[in-house]
Amino acid sequence: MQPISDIPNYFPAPFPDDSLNKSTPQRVLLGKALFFETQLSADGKVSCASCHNPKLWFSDDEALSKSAFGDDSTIRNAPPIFNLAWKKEFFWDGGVKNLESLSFAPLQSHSEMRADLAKQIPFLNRKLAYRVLAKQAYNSDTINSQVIGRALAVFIKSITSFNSKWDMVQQGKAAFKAYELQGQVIFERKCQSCHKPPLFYDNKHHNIFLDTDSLPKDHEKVLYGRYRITYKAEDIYAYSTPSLRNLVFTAPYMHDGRLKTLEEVLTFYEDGCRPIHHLKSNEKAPLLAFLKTLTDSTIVK
Amino acid sequence: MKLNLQLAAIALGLTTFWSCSKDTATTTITDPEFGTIKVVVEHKVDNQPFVLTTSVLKDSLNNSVIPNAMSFYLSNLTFTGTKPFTENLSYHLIRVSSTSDSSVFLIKNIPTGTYNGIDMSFGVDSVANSRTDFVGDLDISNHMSWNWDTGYKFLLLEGSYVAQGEPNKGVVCHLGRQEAFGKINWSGLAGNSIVVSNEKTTTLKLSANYEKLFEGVNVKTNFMVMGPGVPNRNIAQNFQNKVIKFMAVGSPK
Repeated sequence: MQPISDIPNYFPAPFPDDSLNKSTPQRVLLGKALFFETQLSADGKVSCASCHNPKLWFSDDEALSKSAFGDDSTIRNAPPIFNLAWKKEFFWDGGVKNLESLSFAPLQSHSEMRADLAKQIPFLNRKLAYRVLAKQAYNSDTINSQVIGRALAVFIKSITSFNSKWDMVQQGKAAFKAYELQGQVIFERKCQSCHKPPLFYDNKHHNIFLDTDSLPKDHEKVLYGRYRITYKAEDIYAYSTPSLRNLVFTAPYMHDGRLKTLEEVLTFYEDGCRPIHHLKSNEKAPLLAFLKTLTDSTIVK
Repeated sequence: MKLNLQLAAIALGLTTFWSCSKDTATTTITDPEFGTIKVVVEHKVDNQPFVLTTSVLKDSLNNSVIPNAMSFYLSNLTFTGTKPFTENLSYHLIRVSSTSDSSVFLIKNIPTGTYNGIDMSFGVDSVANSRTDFVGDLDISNHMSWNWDTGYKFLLLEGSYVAQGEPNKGVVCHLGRQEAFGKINWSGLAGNSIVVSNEKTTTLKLSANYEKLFEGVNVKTNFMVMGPGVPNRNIAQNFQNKVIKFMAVGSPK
């Protein structure tokens, strides 16, 4: 996690900022405090960081995460948080349109923090430190839902990752080994059309044929992928392209965490998936070596 | 990453600043060139007062629904005339209740003069509907937004489908998305005009007659309207064209 000012020149520029919610150090600080605040959950035990653990690049190691009170689970895998400033839509189905609106879903969802903001906001306002931070960050005398959503957005936007070996190679500070170079060639031929460097995502949604059965009965259409949002037939079973950075920290994989290891993911791309992306079995090891060069260990130190 | 100490230090360091800033007195000055309109929405069904949990709504097939929660947005109000006035950040959440058959909201700081028409919208315009980090009537804690698919519910109606010889069934009608957004225009006000006077309040009466809300919709088969599609559009159009009406305007008081 490095300062925004250090973002390398091969990243898209300028840094995306919201005209109603410009990034400032005070807003980052307030957002950070709220991110780790367990009192924002119904049982006072779950914070954003419970499922978005900094040591795992703000992901967790569960397929589906536990809710407040532990009696429910998320409907999809908790994605890692980094380099989201460049992301256009959020959640696996792209239903959330901006970072400022993002946090209300996990805060209020029954299967996540289950917060009743009418109760949680007065708690925050009883704490002098939060009132001071709100004044500093937004010139607001109180914390309200807008301050919460915007401060969390600025903090999330500040979480960046560009300190991997791949980045060092781009900056001329390191060189790939032969095996990694071999993997890079495979990556460029078979993965890069969706996992576009330097972010290693494409801001699109794709059906990679993880599910091929007929549509299940599901009135909220959670299992239909992006179709739940667009109601377009081509979006059935389509999900957001995840970044391939920091994969070694973010297991399990896919929108429901069904694949436990990177080896299982590569086997899926060998056996299943669209024919155009099929991996040969002798391509898996060098590709894995290349993918590991996308690891940024800064955050876990 | 824990911030307790950091928070405490900042809080202590800024206590003085905080105290000073709270000392600033604010005085409300009423501008003599502006008045207020009090908008009263009367909820009705079949010309009877409409309240939650007891009033009954019918669809075209005479299926019955008893709502236990109902709210909707009226927005972007403009009073037309020789010098039109458009309310800034004009989003009004109207809640139907079980104890009163009317809802009230105020529009302040309207330039004095005579207005002879009203333009407004049902729902929330595309700009505000693209994010949910707002306060006031658009505040997320009003439970009128979707947090997993950013946007507002223009109309929320929840209740029970009731039919003799059948078990009651839950009805959930959450209208939204841009296909449900619509403009309402009353250019003539049936010969009435709205007079806004200095520091006075003019009452504008609207009615919401819900007997045609479900016209063309079979509630028995569409007991859950939550996404885009024909029922979403039909109910929204019914609301814009057949439910919300101008009734009367009072003198400034």
